[in-house]
Amino acid sequence: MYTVGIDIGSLATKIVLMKDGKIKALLENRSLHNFTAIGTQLFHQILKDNNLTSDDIGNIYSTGYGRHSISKLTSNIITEISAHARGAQYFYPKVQGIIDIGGQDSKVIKLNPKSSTVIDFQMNDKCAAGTGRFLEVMADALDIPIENLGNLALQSKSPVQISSTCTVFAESEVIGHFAQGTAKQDIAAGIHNSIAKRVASMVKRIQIVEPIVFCGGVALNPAVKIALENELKLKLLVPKYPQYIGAIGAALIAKERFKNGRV
Amino acid sequence: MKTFAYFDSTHEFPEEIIIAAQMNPYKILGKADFSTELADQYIPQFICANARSFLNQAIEESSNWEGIAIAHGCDATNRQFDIWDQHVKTQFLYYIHNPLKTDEIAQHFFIGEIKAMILALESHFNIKITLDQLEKAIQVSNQIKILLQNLSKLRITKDISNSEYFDVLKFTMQNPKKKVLPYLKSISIDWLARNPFPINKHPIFLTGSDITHSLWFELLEKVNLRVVRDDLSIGERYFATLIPTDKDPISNIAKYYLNIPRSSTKHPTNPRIKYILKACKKEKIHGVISQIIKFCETFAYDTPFLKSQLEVIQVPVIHLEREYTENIDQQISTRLEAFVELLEQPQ
Repeated sequence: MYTVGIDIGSLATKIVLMKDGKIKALLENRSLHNFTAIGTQLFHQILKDNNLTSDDIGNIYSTGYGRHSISKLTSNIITEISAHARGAQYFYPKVQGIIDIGGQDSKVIKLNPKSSTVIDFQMNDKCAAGTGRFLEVMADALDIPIENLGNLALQSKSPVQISSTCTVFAESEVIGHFAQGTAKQDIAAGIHNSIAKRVASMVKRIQIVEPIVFCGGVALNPAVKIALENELKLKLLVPKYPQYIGAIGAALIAKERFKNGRV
Repeated sequence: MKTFAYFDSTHEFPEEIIIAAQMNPYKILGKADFSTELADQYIPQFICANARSFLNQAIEESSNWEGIAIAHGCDATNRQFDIWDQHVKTQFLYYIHNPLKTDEIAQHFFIGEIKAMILALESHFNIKITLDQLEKAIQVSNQIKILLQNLSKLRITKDISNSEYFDVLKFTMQNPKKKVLPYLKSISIDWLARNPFPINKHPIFLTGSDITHSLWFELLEKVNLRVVRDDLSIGERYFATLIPTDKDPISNIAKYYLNIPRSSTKHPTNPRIKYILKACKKEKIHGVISQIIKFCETFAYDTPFLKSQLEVIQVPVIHLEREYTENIDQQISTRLEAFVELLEQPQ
């Protein structure tokens, strides 16, 4: 049976097509503030690419910030918390903790080691610090493409301290470092350490233990992973397709909840 | 009937004095439109928005009130009396100290405070507040509390929405008690005839900062969380216990206010936690929503202790920090939905 999971995030929308619980295809695009249009477009695109019609799909679940916006297409919704928990277990069945850093929010999820159910979670407050958006703003301030930010940070031998936990003030701080002639890579490393400190405080609040999966679009940035590992003194597992974990989880839950019809 | 307004950050103000003075004790809860702009001129925005909304309402509406009293509540709002004194136009503004502790010395102190306020009211309004009037006020107050206790119990067995419960409490705290009594009786008849508790709803305990608008209750309802117990001031704290009648009325009033379910603003924390744990065990509560309005740190400080105690009895809890806004907060909504998913997981 085919199932589809659609993760409509604040910055990017990801869609996964699965057959009998195995990944068949993945697609993503910028959300561009039109969640309904982008979700629908990606759904039709993934069907077309795989020579399928909507009748071939057993169940469709949506998740993410815009999960409610494609209710005509989906059979049900699931929150990012449950979706990421299930998606991480797909790659690492013994996972006990999850760190997900997306475009607009970051989450830490604690799983029960016996039942694999969610027992606690933390999400960042209404604030961009500690999220992908923070990195975007900082990349802009450094005038470099976001894709290069992580590798630039890894070149640093003397990271600066970014003391502010607020994106707006951190940007001012970065400009201040620029004015003092600080090397870009040292500022970039400071930015990554700052995001790690912010996320680490959430991790410590609910005390997750290894094995821990690090996912979300920001997990593609190797410098964040290293900064987090240094801050937490733990090893993080980054799955294949980290940005698709929510969508994969939604597609798996869609399969598990399918009985004799879409549920 | 003349209206006398009061500002207390939980349930500290002895409103029976005002009932005895033949006035309507009106609890200031801010305006329906969430406005704080006028108050924001005098109180920084990193101070509790509830307090700012109360000041805002007072600046706009104080001419409708005979006077205003402020009771000693949380430490963030205590010194705001000076701001009220400067910027709220009223003939009578009074500050009544409500002690943090509950021991004999505290009770003795509070008796003195109640007597001082009675004298101030008698002098300003040229009235006499007799012990007999105070006893009658206690009777009225207790009648209302009994009716509210009975209504509250129906939340566990009947289909009573979160906002209906809140609206009843708000009405009770802002209207003349003579109007409140028949109102509560009519609500009792209505609620008794309701359908049973819906099977798709999760019975929860709601704690934390006081919620002054029904919007937040509606948000909980939307994600199938039904508040069946709480310890809020616009909630069970107002009616959970009755005013004793064994001594003179002033001592009885003092004793009552020092022995109601405790807020985080009072010492020690244990009685508050015990109240929550007892309710969770008694009513088979599925989960606890612990929420604070932004910058209400007193409740936030209690959170780790509350969480650890709830873990012992295996009741899930979620802690949320909310804005003072008329808009639905998507992040809070996501957290609540995730909490519901957590409650619905196979154990």
